[in-house]
Amino acid sequence: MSEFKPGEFRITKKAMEKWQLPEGSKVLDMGCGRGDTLNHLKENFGFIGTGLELSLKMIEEGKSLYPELELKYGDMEFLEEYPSHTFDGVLSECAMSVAGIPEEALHEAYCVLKKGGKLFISDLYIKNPTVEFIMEQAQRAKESIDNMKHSHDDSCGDSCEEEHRNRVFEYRADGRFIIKPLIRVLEEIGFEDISWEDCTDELDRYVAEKIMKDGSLDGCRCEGALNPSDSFRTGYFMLTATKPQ
Amino acid sequence: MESVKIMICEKCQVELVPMETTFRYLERSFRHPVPRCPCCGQVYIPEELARGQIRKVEAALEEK
Repeated sequence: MSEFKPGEFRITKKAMEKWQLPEGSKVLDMGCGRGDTLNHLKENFGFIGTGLELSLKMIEEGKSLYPELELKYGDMEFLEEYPSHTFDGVLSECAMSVAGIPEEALHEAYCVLKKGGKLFISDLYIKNPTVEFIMEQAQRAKESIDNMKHSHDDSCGDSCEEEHRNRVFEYRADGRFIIKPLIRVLEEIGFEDISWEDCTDELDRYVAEKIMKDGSLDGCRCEGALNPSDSFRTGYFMLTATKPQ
Repeated sequence: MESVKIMICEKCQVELVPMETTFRYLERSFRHPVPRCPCCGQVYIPEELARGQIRKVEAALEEK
């Protein structure tokens, strides 16, 4: 396990079964890491992949492992390089939770998707948040942006991941999504056929295997999310959506 | 000379080898390589593994 990816490729496979895209489809992986998923999609589905990643170290590793993949340094919130209607599919696995402004990334994904194009996200989420928590979160979200010490720009990298992960949004808290507000955001952007499911068993398996292998969760991105400041449990979800025709 | 510990299955009299093994606890499952007999599948869990990582996994899954 070189990076945080519960489910290995089992969740990815489920999403691709929902996508039903043909061989030769062009897909964008936002927060692609070394490109492991893109390589898997190329080998198993015949997709043509492009990967964006903010970690130069990951890109370097990826280019060494998979020299034929298109892996680029880039921020999922800034996709001006790609014209509208470029990709058949856009995915982001365990990366959206650390994006600076996730709705920006989701809006960009919408723009670069072709009509009828598919979105797939998998990430950490808060299981069973109360109505009060959701309302308080919405209030905190209004205040948090102005209080940010770090101004988001193109130099974002691994060192500011912690700060971005802890930024408060209506649909994200402590590096975990809140499903209902997230779905509202997706609907507002224009996505339809939004479908999500819980995959927490894969997170549990990841945690167990990481502890067995490394002795602890030290250094794992999920470590903080599994010990959050609130009392809600952390789960893992997958979500797919479609850009209308 | 460094001594190498070899584990032998008492039933099959063959050497145990590291094999991926499925563990189940509280309706969750995970996999980890441990010494097993390639003939009968008997598993050997070292005490340090049981008292170390396995105990930590149990605690992590119980918290969830």
